[in-house]
Amino acid sequence: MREATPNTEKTVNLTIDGIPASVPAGTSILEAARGVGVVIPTLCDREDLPKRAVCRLCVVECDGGGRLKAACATEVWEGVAVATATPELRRVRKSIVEMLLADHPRDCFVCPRNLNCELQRLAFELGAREFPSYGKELPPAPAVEAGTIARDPAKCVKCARCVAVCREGQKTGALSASFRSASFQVGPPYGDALQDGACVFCGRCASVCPVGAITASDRTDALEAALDRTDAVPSAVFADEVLSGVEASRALPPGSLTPLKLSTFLKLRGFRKVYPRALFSAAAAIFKAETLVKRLKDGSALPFISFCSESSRRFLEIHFPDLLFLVGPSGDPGRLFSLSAKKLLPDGEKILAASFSPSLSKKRDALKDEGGPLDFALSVGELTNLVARSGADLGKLAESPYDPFPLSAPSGAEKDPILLEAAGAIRLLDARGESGRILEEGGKLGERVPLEAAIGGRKTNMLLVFGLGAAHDLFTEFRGKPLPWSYLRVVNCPGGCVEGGGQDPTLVGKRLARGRNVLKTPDPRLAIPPLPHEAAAWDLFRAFKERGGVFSS
Amino acid sequence: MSREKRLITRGLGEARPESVSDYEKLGGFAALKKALELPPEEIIAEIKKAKLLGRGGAAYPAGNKWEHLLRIPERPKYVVCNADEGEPGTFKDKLILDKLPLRLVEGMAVAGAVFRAAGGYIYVRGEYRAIQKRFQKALGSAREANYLGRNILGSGFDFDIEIVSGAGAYVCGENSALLNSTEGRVGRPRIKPPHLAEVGLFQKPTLVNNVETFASVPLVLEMGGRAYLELGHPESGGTKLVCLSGHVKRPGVYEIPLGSLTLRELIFDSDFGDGVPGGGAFKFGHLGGQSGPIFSQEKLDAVYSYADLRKAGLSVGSGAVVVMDSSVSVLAYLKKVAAFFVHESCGKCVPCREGNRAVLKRLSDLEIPSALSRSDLEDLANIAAAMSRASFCGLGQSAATHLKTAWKAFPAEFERNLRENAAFGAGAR
Ligand SMILES: Cc1cc2nc3c(=O)[nH]c(=O)nc-3n(C[C@H](O)[C@H](O)[C@H](O)COP(=O)(O)O)c2cc1C
Ligand code: SF4
Ligand code: SF4
Ligand code: SF4
Ligand code: FES
Repeated sequence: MREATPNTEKTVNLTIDGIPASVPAGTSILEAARGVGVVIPTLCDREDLPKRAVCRLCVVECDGGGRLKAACATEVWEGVAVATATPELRRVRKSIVEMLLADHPRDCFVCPRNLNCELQRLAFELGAREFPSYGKELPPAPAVEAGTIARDPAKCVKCARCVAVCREGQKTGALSASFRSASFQVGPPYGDALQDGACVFCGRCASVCPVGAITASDRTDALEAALDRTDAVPSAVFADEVLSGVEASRALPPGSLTPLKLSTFLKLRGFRKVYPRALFSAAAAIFKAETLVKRLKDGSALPFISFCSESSRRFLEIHFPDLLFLVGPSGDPGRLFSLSAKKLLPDGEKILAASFSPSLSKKRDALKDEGGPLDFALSVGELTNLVARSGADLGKLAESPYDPFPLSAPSGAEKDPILLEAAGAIRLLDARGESGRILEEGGKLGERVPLEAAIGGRKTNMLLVFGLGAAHDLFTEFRGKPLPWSYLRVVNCPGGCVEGGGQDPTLVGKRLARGRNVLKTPDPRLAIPPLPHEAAAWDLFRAFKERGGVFSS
Repeated sequence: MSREKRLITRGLGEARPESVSDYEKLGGFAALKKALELPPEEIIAEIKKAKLLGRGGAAYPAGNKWEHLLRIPERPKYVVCNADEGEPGTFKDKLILDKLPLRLVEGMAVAGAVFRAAGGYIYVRGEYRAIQKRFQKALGSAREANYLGRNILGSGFDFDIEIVSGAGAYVCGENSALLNSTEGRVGRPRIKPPHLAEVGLFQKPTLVNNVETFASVPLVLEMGGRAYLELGHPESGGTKLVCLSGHVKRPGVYEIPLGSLTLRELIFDSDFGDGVPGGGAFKFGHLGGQSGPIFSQEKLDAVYSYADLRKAGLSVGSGAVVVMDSSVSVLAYLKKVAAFFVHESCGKCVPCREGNRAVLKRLSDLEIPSALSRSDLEDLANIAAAMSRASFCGLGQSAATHLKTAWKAFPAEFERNLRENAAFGAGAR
């Protein structure tokens, strides 16, 4: 990861296209230029990834001559005069982008990244107006879809962002760069299928890909067909974390799309019922609390490791198999919604259950158990497609309330306070993982968030870990030693579910997504608020169990 | 009387390659003894005085490189010899490895002593499999005589050299790719800075020099920096091994004092190339391997030294001099070179990966009447410029040199078949 702490003691003075700039030592020319309003074209670089400097679009001239330098990977030095747009540099950049276009499929109209592709934008901004005629005659590699990840290698610009995020960011190591020259390619090693390797289907690679070479798979067509069915009752829940992606894609002001406006849209679009997801999150937390309380009682298999999705087990299988026995359910509210709707509602067998969430791994879970509970695990892309295809102006929609989830046989069973205490703490931590990284007052990003809860009068330490890379560091640090927590929640993505692989990729890493910046520094001794929807969630939990329901994922 | 100067090649053919005593009779290992006794600064001062430029291709002053590494406090330090010798037309390191291995061993051991290095590695071209085995023998005899190993000559200094075999990638001659490959990583270049002197092999401070550079070091110390300088060119001391090949009667490795001969003398004089065989005429030459410049007869009077060749728009590079006679088509030759780079690009950066393919395609197009327009030719020039100026490493940066220099020397070859120039109907097929 790029160091977020340049040596701030020293300030370096330089000029960028004649504009004076003072920046901390260790700043890249690229960042220094941005600071004074000069935007140097880039393709491979990303603030949140280790630098690779392979596209070479960001080359600049220093002190009037000499070798050109990659602005993204070159630190400023005292007194340097940087020129970013000389005639030579403009020619070089245009040549480079043309080289990339030479072999690029001319598929923009039908590409999932149409209108938000970085190569498209660069080609426009750098003045390319023709496809060069020296393109290769290599046969394009076929597109493949594995699980929830669609890869179209013919569109790959070989920026290696995906490799960097998978190897160094997530430390999953499912992708690598192989071969050389024109055969240089990225993908699972040895040409294996993605699902046969170390991939956990977090979708981080899709989030960082600048073009349409890796995307979240798209089931909009199937969803639309299902919504057209008259014999079914399409019903939905959605995570609030999808809202910012819809806002961005429809150019709505951030924060203007409320959950209840989206609920109105979903109804308009053919969903007969839209239920509050929070109810199922709370009930799922009670199920998880059962596991936790049981393990606390036995004093065994602690910490209870809860990933944000079942697919993340793969991460332990590959890297820390000795910890596998600690894994417990992830508690996907979407699946619990589907299971309980089908089991508990009067016309349950007619229900077509859909859950919208920015997590791509949850989608993978749903696909994996075929004929499983959830009919549609959908990500932000499918939701924005639905909105775009409907033409609705979401800004003008009124709010409409969620449908109440009608329990046919409300249970009278008495509440279990210890279970609810545990569920409250679990839900608090899980919600933080969903809504994004927690920023301290000073703005420092923390990858581990502790929580101290009292469960049944007993002090219980819990920990939330953002990103598989951070989890890898944690498990490495504690290799061979006991993990001193009772509940360990790992969310796959370093920015939380709100920046999941199913989020609009143009938002990820931009700190725009809803949920970021919202939460304050967690005080580990903070009073844990009661479980939201406690009464209804308890009833649901009881009713589900009384009817023989099993929820173990 | 030959104008060769046998310095590095002294004793060649007489001394047994792996015999320490034969090498000692030629004055061998005196420099290592000096290096074990004298302060490192003094050794480096001699190398600086000698103006010994790196012989691997980039011609970076060895003394400056050594000085830089010496100033870095971090330890351990490593000494690495680049024996990848990947440039086509270059076969002088092979001669040293095979026939004069102890001179190289001594040069590396001197560096080891100067930096009190933790170890030495030599990365040898994979195709030199048999030579690797013979070099191993030379290392063995140096160890036996305690010029390598523990407590060298009672100095308390331990140093040894390990052979690492390349696997056939040209780019692994680039020093950072070479270190990656030595570490067992994929042989692709690293981002610089950090300089390898700071973050080199196993992330530790590292010296990388070419075989011939290391082999020259004992000679510098033996004769003194000033004498070594005076022997060569005022800006680059000493001798250079030149590899003559192609259409010359007497191909081979020749050791000449830098600045003492013109290209014409090298190619045509009877004690060197002795001219073009079979009565053919000289058409062009290619210096320093595939990555170097191409020249026509107009430049034959340039003097063979780093500075003079640079003034003539040429360069020494690795020391290769490949001669082509009038039977060879310039475009056909350039296509071979471009195909070499298309094969050898590591593929990670755009200008090199895509540019080389574009160049090869355009060179083929240039052979077809009316295939290209003048604006296509402008695009080609821009591609070449983008490669030279924006590529990640030296491979891409020099992969268009052949094209650009040949274009200057033979402009008509590039124009002949252009749409505007081709005779009407000439391209009809
Ligand atoms: C693509 C490429 C290939 C190279 N191949 C070699 C090689 O085969 N042998 C070599 O000594 N230097 C080679 N070099 C130069 C090295 O990077 C480096 O400059 C050299 O080893 C430094 O040693 P010197 O200063 O003693 O010349 C190559 C450079 C590039 C960019
Ligand atoms: S989905 Fe995640 S684990 Fe799989 S290849 Fe992409 S980044 Fe790697
Ligand atoms: S798949 Fe996407 S992220 Fe990966 S190298 Fe290709 S263009 Fe870059
Ligand atoms: S110039 Fe670029 S593609 Fe070519 S060898 Fe160097 S890093 Fe690889
Ligand atoms: S953005 Fe700097 S090289 Fe790609």
